[in-house]
Amino acid sequence: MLHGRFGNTSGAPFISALAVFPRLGWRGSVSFLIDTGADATVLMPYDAKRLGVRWRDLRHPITSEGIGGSADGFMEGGLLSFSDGKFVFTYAVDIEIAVRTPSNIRFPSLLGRDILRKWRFVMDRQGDKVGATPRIWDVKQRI
Amino acid sequence: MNKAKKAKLLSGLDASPRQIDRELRSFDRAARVLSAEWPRLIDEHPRQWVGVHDGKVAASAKTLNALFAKLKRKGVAPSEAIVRYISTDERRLIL
Repeated sequence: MLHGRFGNTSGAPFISALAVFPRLGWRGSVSFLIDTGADATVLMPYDAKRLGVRWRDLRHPITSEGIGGSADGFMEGGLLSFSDGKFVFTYAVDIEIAVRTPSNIRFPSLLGRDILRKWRFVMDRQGDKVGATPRIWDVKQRI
Repeated sequence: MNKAKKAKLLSGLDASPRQIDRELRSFDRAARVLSAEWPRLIDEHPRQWVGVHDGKVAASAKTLNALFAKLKRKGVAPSEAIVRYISTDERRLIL
């Protein structure tokens, strides 16, 4: 089982993944807020900056809708790898990279249903447990 | 995503499973430090960005750019640190 955790003050469920964007040469670990309301996975501006974003390198603009209105971003093919300590599960997905705005700079990156629909996911706040069992993957490698 | 694009992306997988697991474990340790020490961080770094690496706060700064510069000066790649803004306000986040 993949193990996540609850955020310090929010109590929101988080899980870590290694994100790789082969075309851009970006690579790094990201703590994703698990968001069943997000259609797709989103890399928020401070994580994009941490991984080394250069906005001029991004090619495919997109506008998405949320409770705060519309938000601009770019789609980029990437790899997300998760480890349960025995196996690494990797997914090739199109990830939205959100353009920085005054309001979103502190937002956590979101793990959306493009990944979550491939898992069985458990969130048990009272039992202090965030866990997921992958049902589908693109690559599964023994550690 | 079509199969050809997926296969091309997967060919960019640049690390062994052992290395990926090691990196994620290290990152998770930093994330848990961030959670466990949140009250102390609010006292010591209010309204600042902090970068946690290798189980401890590696740097803090008022802006994200300044934090990344400090991390790099200390030999810590920002991509290897977990970064958070230490807010003293309770925020209600609906994404």
